[in-house]
Amino acid sequence: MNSDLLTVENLRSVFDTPEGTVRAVDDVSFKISARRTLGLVGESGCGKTVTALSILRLLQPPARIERGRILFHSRKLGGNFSPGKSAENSPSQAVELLSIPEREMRKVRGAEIAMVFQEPSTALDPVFTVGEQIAETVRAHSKVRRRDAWSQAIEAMEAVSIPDAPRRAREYPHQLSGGLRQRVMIAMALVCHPQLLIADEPTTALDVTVQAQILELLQSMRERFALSMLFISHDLGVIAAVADEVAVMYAGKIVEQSPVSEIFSNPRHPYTQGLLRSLPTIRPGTLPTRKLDAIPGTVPNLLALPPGCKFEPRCPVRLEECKGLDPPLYPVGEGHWARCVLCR
Amino acid sequence: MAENNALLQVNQLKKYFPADSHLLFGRGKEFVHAVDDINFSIQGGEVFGLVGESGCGKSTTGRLVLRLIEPTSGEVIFDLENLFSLDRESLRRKRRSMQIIFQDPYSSLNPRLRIRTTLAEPFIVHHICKKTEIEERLRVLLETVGLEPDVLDRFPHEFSGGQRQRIAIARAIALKPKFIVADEPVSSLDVSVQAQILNLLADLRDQFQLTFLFISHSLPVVAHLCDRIAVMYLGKIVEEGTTEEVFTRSAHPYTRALLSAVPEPDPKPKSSRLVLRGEIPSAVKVPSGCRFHPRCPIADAACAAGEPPRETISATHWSACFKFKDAAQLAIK
Repeated sequence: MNSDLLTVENLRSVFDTPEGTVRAVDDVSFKISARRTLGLVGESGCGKTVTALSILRLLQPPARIERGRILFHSRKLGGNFSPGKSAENSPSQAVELLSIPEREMRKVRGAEIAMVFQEPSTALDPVFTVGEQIAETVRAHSKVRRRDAWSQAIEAMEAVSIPDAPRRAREYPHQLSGGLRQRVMIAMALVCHPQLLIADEPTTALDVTVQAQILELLQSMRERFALSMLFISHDLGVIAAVADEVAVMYAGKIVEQSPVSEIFSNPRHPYTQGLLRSLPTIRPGTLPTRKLDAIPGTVPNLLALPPGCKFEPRCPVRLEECKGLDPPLYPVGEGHWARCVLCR
Repeated sequence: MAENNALLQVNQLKKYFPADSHLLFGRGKEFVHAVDDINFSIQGGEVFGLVGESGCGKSTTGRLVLRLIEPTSGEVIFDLENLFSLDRESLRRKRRSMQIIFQDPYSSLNPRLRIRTTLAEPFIVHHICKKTEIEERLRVLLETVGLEPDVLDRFPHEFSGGQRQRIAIARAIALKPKFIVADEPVSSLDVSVQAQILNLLADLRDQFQLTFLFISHSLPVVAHLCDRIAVMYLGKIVEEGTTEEVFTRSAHPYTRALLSAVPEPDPKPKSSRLVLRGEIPSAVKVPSGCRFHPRCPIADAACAAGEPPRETISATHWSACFKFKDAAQLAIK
């Protein structure tokens, strides 16, 4: 069996707008291996979330997937369905998610690929108790009795360390704090034992001390359930804490991809370098410098992208040819690519 | 600390909001203790950071020191006068020298007004100059914050978040104030733009000798700009010191936990992260004694019984913790 759980190839997702078609995700390719975490990092509007929604086929018009392939090793599809979490031994074959019917996709979504969103207060339904919502997820994917679904929900809530889970399960989302709501979201995502968890800015809405708790929880869940993760964040600090590999996105494209230690110690793309330099950081025992090294300008409008390299207008080391040439990803090391002519 | 030449002095300031939903009946029974007896002073030309998590009372403090809301009790002495004893007219005149920059530049600029109207308003309201001079003043103002004069004829929706924040900053410095409250001014901005705005604020401070109350939830951001820092938790200041003291010799368990929780852009495994239990409790039913004791890793019975006093660590550094000596030993990473 191939160890790549998910393979995304040349994905392009677009928005049809009155001013024209906008490529929110353009020619994005990556792989996520079993039990590995890929961190997808970039600023707002760079295409991180659209990438995640494309994988789950959750894009709504005016957005649509224009081209690409998404290969996923499904336990359920391909006739090798084995219930429960002990699917390790059953041989599975890759399914191309973009070509299967919606009916099949529903078996994957939530059960094999689950997602945790940034804002737990809008992702939960305010008129049902959190226990009911988790139990509903269970019943959507397997034929179990209501009572069994409920006890699975409680179990999942206990697994994510929600104190007093049987009582909390009978509460409504507004009765829980932000941190507890995010734990409920994680419980709901994990209750069907997915192989892949997509976490889209799961800690961004939380306070920093609660963020530390949730990051710890995600790490322990990853060990316990042998999860692979696609972890989306704008925060390089959070990415450093959770990811094995990192892909940096800018204006719809991956501009650099590498193992996590490489991206921080040896960033090769000028955008990655600029992001790291512009970050206010503190290290215990040292004082920060007064002046930050900011990247000039702003993220380009996707409707009026520069013809060449998308970062060229803001790039401190641009060459004349960058204006006309949109570079491919050049290999710069073991598992390390950068989309910059300086890396040729 | 030379208290006498403080530009701003906050004494025993309290703000309780009624917590009852029944405005007609149960009013006055329960209160949100948003700001509960805080004291600090800011010297002229200083950047004072107020840091804490959501709901700790930092924004309420920012509004109180400008008298945008009325306090439950206490005083704010600005330029030797208590703002809360001023009449409307004197307060209006005083406000020329105090300004605020908000977090969200999408809601703090009027979407129906051209930038020219928004920026010219302070000059007109305070009768600063002749109508004919305004255009020249606006041009200089925009140059100061790094914008081109052609922005004047456009509307807020035409700008990115960073540009809007520059416009909001231009509005705040238009009348050359002495004092600016910056309430999370970079929190809604992207990383690459955040650095630009922080640099701009640092430049303005040097250029105009501005005094700032800089409110933020982010310790790294505060560290970059501030001379001194106060850490707030549940309506109280728990530690105060110079930036260096707070970052390198912190003596309060909450500050140390905050420092420890900041994810660093460095993938090396952390040896021991100080992760707190639970979340900030309700500000309606505040814990007894030290408000931090239910989450504190080193709390004992004494911490639940009595409120800790300010323990002096240096002339500029204090911590409201009975066990400040133990706290200073807590491993951060």
